[in-house]
Amino acid sequence: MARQKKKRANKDKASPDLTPMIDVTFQLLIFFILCTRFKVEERNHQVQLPKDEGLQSQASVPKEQITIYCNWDPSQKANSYVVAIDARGRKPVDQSYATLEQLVIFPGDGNAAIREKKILYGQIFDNVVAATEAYIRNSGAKIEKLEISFAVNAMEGAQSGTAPWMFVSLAIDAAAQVNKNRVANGQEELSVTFKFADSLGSYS
Amino acid sequence: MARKRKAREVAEGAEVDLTPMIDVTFQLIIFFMVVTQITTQENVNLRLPDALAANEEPEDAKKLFTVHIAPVNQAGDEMLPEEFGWFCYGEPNPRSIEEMRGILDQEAALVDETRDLTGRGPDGISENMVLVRCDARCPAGEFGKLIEMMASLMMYKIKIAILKDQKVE
Repeated sequence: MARQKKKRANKDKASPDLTPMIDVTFQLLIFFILCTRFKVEERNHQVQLPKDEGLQSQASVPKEQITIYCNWDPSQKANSYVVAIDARGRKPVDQSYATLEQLVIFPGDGNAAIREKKILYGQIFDNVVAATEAYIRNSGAKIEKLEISFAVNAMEGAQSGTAPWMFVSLAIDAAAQVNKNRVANGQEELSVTFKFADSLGSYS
Repeated sequence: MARKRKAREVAEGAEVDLTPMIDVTFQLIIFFMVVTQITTQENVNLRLPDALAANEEPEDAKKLFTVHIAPVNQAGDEMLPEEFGWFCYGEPNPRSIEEMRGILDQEAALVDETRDLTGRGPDGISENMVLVRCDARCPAGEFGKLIEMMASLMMYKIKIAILKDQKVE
C-alpha cells in the first residue's frame, strides 16, 4: 500500500525535460538568423548582341549610328560622356563629369550621401539622354543603331583600359530611355550595341 | 508559523512556464525558414549599379544562367577593389576564361522546358539567355570579354541586372 502511494506521487510530478528541445530550437534559430540574407530587388536591361559582328565577322554594311563614348580618365578616376555619329563630330555632354566614388552607393552611405549620389546620377542621365536626342535630331541622318564605347582610347580598344561598369551601365540606361522616348513618339527603337575594338587580341 | 510553511511549499513547487517562449521561438524559426534563400548564387558580394529606365523583372520570370562579375577577394570590403573575376553556379572561386568558355558552350546548348530553354536552333544560334550581374566598380572590359565570348559561341541574348531603386527618405 505504501509502495503504491509512492508510485502515484512520482507519476504526479513527472514532466518532460524540455531542455534538449530548447537547445535544438535555439541552435536552429541562431542558424537561420545568421544565414538569412534578404534578397535585394533587381531590375534589368535586356540587350540583344549584334549578330553581324563578333569573332568571325564579315565586312558589314556601313550604317549611320550614334555612339555614346564613356570618356574615362584613369589618372583622375573620373568619367565624362561624348556623343558622336560613328567617330565623327564628337560632342562632349555638358555636366556629365563624375568620379566613380561620387556615383557608386556603398553599404556605409547614409541617406544624405545616397540622395546626393542619386541626384548626381539623375542629372548625368538626363544630360546624356538630352545630348543624344539632340544629336539625333540635329544630324538629319537616318540613325539605325546606338553604340556604347567604353575603351579609354576607342582606336586602341580594350588594351588602353576600359571605363568602370557604373558608367557603361549609365550609358545603357540612357540608351534605354532614348528608346522609350522614341517609342512614345511613334519612332522605331534603335538597337543598342557595344564597341570594343581589338579586345579579342588582348583577351585571347 | 503555519503561513510561513505554506509560503515555502509554494516556492518549492514553482515552475517557469516555458510554453510562450517555445511558441515565440518556433514562430521565429518558421519565419526564417520561409524567408531564407538557401541558394548561394545571390551571395556573390558585389555592388550593382542603379538605373532609371530599366524594366521590372516579372515575378514569374524563369531562372536564368547567371554570371557574376565580382571582386576576386569576396571576403574583403575594399571601396575600390582592383581584381575582378567571373563567378557562377554559386561557387566561391572565379572561373578562368577557358572554363567559362566551356560552361557557356554547355549553357548555350541546354534544353530545359521547365526553364523555357530551347538550346541551339538549326542555324547553330542559341536562344538561351544569360543574366549578367556586373559590379559597378569593375572595368567594363570584363563585360566586353564575356559578351565577345558569347558572340563567338553564337549566344546573342543577354540580360543585365541593376539594383532596383532604393527609396531615400
